Amino acid sequence: MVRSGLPAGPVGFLTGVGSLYIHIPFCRARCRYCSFSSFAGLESLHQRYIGAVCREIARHAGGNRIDTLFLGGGTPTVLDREHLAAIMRRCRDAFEFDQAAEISLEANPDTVRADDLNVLRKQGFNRISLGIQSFSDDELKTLGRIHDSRRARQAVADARAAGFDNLSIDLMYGLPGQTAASWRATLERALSSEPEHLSAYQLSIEEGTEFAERAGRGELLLPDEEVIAEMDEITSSLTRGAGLRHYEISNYARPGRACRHNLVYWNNEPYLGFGAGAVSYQEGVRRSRIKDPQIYCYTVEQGREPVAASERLEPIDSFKETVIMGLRLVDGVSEQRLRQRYGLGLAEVYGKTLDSLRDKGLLLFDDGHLKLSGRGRSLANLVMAELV
Amino acid sequence: MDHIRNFSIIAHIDHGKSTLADRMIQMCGLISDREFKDQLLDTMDIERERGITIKSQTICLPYTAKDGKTYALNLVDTPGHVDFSYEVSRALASCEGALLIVDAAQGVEAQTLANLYLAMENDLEIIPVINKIDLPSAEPEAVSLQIEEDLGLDSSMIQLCSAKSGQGVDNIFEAIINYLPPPEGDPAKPLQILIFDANYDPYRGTIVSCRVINGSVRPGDLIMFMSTGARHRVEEVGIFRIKKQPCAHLQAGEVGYILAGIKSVSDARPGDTITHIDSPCSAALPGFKEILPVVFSSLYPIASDDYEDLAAALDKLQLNDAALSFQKDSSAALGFGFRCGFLGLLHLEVVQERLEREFDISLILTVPSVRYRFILSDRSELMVDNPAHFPDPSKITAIEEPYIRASILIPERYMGVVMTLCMERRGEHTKYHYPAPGRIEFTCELPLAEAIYDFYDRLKSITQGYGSFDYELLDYRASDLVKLDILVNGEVVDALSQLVHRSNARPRGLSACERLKDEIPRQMFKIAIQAAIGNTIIARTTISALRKDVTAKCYGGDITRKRKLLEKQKAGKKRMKTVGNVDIPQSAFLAVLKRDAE
Repeated sequence: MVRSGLPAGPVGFLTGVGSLYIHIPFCRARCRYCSFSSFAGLESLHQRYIGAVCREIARHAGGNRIDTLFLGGGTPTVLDREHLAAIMRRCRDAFEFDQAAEISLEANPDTVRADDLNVLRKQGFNRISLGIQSFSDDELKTLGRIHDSRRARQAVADARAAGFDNLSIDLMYGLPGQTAASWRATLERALSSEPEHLSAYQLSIEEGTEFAERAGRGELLLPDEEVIAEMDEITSSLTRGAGLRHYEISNYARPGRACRHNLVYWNNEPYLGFGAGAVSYQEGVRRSRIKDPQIYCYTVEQGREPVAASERLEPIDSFKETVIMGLRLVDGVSEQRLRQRYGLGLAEVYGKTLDSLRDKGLLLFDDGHLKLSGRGRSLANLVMAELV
Repeated sequence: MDHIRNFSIIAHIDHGKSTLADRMIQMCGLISDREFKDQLLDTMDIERERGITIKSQTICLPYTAKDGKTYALNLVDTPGHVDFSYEVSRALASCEGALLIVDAAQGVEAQTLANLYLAMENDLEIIPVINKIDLPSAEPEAVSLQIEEDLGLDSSMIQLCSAKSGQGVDNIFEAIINYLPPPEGDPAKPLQILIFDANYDPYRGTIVSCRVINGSVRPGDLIMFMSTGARHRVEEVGIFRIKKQPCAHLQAGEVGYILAGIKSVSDARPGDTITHIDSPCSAALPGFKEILPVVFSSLYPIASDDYEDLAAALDKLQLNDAALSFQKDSSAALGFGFRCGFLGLLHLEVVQERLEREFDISLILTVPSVRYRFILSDRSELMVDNPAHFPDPSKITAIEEPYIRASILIPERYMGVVMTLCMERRGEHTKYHYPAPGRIEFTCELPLAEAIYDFYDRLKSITQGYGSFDYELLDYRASDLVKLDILVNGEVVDALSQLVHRSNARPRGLSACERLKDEIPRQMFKIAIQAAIGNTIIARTTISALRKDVTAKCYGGDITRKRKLLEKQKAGKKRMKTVGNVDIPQSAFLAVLKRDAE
């Protein structure tokens, strides 16, 4: 999915933003593996937070027509549906939306009820991403999730019934105690509901999480590499069998159903972000907002920009970033588009490094695109560390 | 000359030598309390941090005694480590007496004895000083008894003090005047000056620290260094206060400095004699020795761009460290570097630290080696201190390695573990005696190569810190030596080669392989690590190929963090040395230097 209509600015940044991201940093409970910006037990803050986010949205009103919106978290659906509706209304007031805009909502099975889903669908959300993670109750417990597999199946059914015809399921593999067989079972269960989109994330142990602590104490029994390789095999063959195409390192979709919002990130194109911890990338500047929801609220209420950090990359560094993000895509990065955007070609920037990675069978050049080989995808960090 | 006393302070490490020197300087009024800082005589950062003295320092203390006369007390502070024992002996040779400090709680230790022997060899009068008498655990009576019975010193001369509080220090001044003899020597005789140290000053050249034995020297004199025949014109002479204080002349009995446009400290060797060119003395002073390095290691800059900087830094260090020797070296694995010779492992560590700290150069060191003697089939003799120069084994008829006599002082209960350690390190002719009830002085003859790694660290750990260690070089003895190579994916990493005794080769090879396995990050392909003697593989380990290294999630909020992680990964890779196609981090080279804790 390439939006070639975007004009390139003089230093490689793209003008005009067609994508919005809104962050809801709240969860019912903190999962044991999660290092994302999210807080459990702050229900009293919800009302105030919605106010602050709406205020921030209003302040950035105008500009381009919006093509994608993504309401993520945290768990957006811990908010009352009226809160979510309020945010949606404010976005529509502030921005003009394209007729065919992709409007995604992240949801956890335990926080969505059938009538909520009906309401949200009617308010314009047309894509839902369900954080199911596993259909094994044991694994769900290990992860610290508060739903079970029955609830997960119900959530899928409810979403379908509410009219979500663009449904994505998030799964995780490489979990403590997980076997290849149980991964296959989870995957088969997920695919049986014929999702338009599937994300399969290998568990990574992130610093500061409960899992990291337990791993440090040697208490986390993770599947070894052979088992992971087998799980990758299973993912590849089952998704293909279900008509889903592998389009990003961890993402699979039916033709035309790749997540347009996330493609903006992987193409390193501009987006606006609102909410605590959200990041905007606009006119070549990346700005991240204050993570702490209370301080975020306070700052917005004071009428100040809730920006915690910002960076502007030199064109050459932005070029490299674009390559690295683009290599996450199975289709890779288009040399022609790089040249249009930066006036630079791959060979000029990387020289022999590129040849050496190609000789090692990690990269390939195909149809004007630089992309990772299968092996390269498994070792993507090694390749990207050479190209950064 | 009656109003001069030249003395040194000798002690086991941490018994309070620098503290006592500080207190004496302060009590003579040479420095105000405001200017005072600890370890006045230790000017290098490393000396202060480690609490050790590396260079000799001298200070002339003015003291008005209770008899009303004013004395010049020359305190010659000596280095405090076995690596520098020759410098110590020269510094002692310029004194008539010494304060032997013994910690009131610890009692007599190995270096107390070693230093006492050195002082006795130089015919010094000894004043025993029991320090730290204010410690709760102090046992001055027991220590007095030890000094009298074990060391055979006159207990009536013992001084009790707390260098920290200053208690008893005034009595030490009086004891110096009353018990130590004034210097002998004749100002009218031909000039004889003993050099005991030299320091480099970028503006003035080499500052020669010396003791005038006979005769007298003044600016303008033409002098000669007897070991080299080098000639100079004296520019300035003087004494050390806190700073250099020029005077009209230095004469027999005095301790001071000479400036004579000498470019490098290696031209003013400790132990050498200076005399007048016109009316030279008949013979040089006894005891001069060339200081020879005993431990060798190659130093490579991690970034090969730093080679020139390393060369310049070594040049600079050598200006003030005559014992440091170096020459160009090159390694297929590490590029260009220097083969350096050191007095011992501490000296090596000091040089490494100064290079990294003062000159900001990150280094890789190769496994330290001693100098071996090879007798070849054509009867020629070859000295080798670098595994890279190991001769063709088929042409070797005999190999010899240097031995030391190690002297270890321990509480009796550690006898067993220390004996075992010495046996593991190929110790021979072990002997022991009881210098005091419950304490053992244990001596044994060890290959120097076995002592230069972690012997002292191991000793400390198995004796819970109670063991003390000193050594002297003995001679060369026959040895069965092999060159142990380390191969990474079939390629010899020359910088990891080491010369080892055949009996140690397998365990050492195995340990090197294991350590490399822990330190080399997994890479795209399988890596075989092998230890070999010639073509025979004696140990091996394998690092399995990295199968997966990929970040599962990367969305809009993660891009910056992800990029920074990749940049870090890239920078880490740059700091590695690539051998064949394997990236080896600095830590892997360092890990091989270390032996197993057990």
